[in-house]
Amino acid sequence: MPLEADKLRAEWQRFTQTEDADSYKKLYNYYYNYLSFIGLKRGFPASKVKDIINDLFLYLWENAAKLGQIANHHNYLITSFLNKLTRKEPFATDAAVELQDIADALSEPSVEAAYIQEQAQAELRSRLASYLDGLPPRQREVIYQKFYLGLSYAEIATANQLSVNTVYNTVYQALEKLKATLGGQAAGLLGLALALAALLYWMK
Amino acid sequence: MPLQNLPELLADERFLNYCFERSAEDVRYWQERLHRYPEEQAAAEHAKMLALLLADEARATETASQYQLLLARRQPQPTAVTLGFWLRARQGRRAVVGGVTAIVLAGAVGAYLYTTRQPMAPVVTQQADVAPGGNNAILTLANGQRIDLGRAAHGTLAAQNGLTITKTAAGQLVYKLTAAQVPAGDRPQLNTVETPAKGQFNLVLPDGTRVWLNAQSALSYPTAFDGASRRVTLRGEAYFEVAHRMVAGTQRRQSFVVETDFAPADPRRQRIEVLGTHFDVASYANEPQASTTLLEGSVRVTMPGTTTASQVLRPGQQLSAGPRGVQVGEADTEAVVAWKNGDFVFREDLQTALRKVARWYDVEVVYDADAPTQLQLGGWISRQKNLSQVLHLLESTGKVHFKLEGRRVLVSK
Repeated sequence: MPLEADKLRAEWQRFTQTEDADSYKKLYNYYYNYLSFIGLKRGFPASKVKDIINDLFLYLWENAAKLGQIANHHNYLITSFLNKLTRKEPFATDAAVELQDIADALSEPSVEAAYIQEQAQAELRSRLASYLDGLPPRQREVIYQKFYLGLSYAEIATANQLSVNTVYNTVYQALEKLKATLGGQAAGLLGLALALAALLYWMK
Repeated sequence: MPLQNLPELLADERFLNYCFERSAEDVRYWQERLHRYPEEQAAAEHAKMLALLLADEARATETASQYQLLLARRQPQPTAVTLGFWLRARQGRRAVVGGVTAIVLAGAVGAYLYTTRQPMAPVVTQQADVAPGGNNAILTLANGQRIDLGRAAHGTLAAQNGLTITKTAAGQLVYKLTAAQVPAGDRPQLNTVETPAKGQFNLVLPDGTRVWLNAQSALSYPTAFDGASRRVTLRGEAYFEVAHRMVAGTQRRQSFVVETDFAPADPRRQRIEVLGTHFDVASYANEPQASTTLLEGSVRVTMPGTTTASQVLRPGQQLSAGPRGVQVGEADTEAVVAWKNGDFVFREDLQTALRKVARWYDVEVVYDADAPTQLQLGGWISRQKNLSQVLHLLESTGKVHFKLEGRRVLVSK
């Protein structure tokens, strides 16, 4: 089980015991990305992957009380997700699972996670956030798949049923917009953020 | 210029593998390349930084938008226990709010219920009644000068830094640029409009943004909005219609940022960032939660007191933040903006409703031990009525009684 997933063990317990909405959201925030990664890596269409993740979480919400017996939430979630995705089996509360081999774990861009968290980038982050909000949904989704999930152009093409060329052009157009959005001023911001990051790194 | 070939770099699969260390081979390739061509290093560093931040923001945006879809499926509309009392308080009600059909239908049924019921004998003790609030506020200029906007005659109130401040015949406060631009060297100055209890006010900021300020609220804003964003600070409640605007000399839209005036770590504290849109922000210190409700456009809300995460709202959604965390759900937009349209819409518990009443009539509410504080209400009445009429309406539920003593309202079963 990845370290991040292991840390969520307590959230899973709280959610199944008290139906805690906050724990539920934390689980979602992690597993939405994790399950997207596994689903898309296996070549399933992005629309189907997204639907099944939300189906699964809807099921969890409605059956929280019955899930307390499940000790390994990570195996349970992945198996339930893949069973529905590959064999169209309905979700169940008993974890009759032997985990399929998940060799390709999501390698999160966590290398610099420590400095990503720093407030120093707040301004730049907020620019990026409004930039993403302003993108057409298709471009935004492809940026997510390319940058966060780290899928190859070929994998993204399969997931979205597009040609590799179209995917590349979509990414490129979104990046042109990013360049235009950041413009002159943001280069300064970026410089400042970099300088601070370097300083923080040096102080560690 | 380090951003020159940003799109080329960030669209390059090998470069991204280097940034995210996803392939040892590509990491080696780029390390060697940058070693050989040091002049590329600055651009690569900038691009890498952006890639990491963009990845994380894309995750946040994508996850949040999918979570919203999930929430929409998870929570069917909550059905409050509605007691059938409705009072036709105004003729010619303006149809201002979306979703009018359903509301009108509900209103018709409610009115029917009301008229077929035997009206209750008024129980409110008739002493001196309390008149409703009105357009009233204090404007504080950067130099400390205070202007009573309720009393001021219409016309020009003040001129400062190439700006004139006018009160229109309709009682609206309008800022107009008189000089082509604020004289160089003059920094934008901070103005504040503050409404007392029983007060509300409507103003047009120097950028054309319209703001409605509810009772016991204050808005601070600079007299000129230059720079990348327009920033204002709010205490209490206001409705914003933000004007679209470009950053001077660029093709970029200038964002509009509302920060609420809470202590730095208060979980209710919010920062709302928008480009041009209509929304309501309620951030009263005596409410358990602060909320932002979006009617049009798009806003991004962060809660700087508790988290670095942010939420993007879709039209019709409301975000509430408080000690019990952050909730996003479908809003009862008619109820939220009712105050701006001159009404009370009570679709809430008795205590929440009476806090609104207290702010608008400047009264103190005192509860008996047996007062039905959890009573769920449903109904609306004009804010132009006297206090006793509002209390009569609430009494028509038959579940609550009021006694008005001077500026105190006693609530009992």
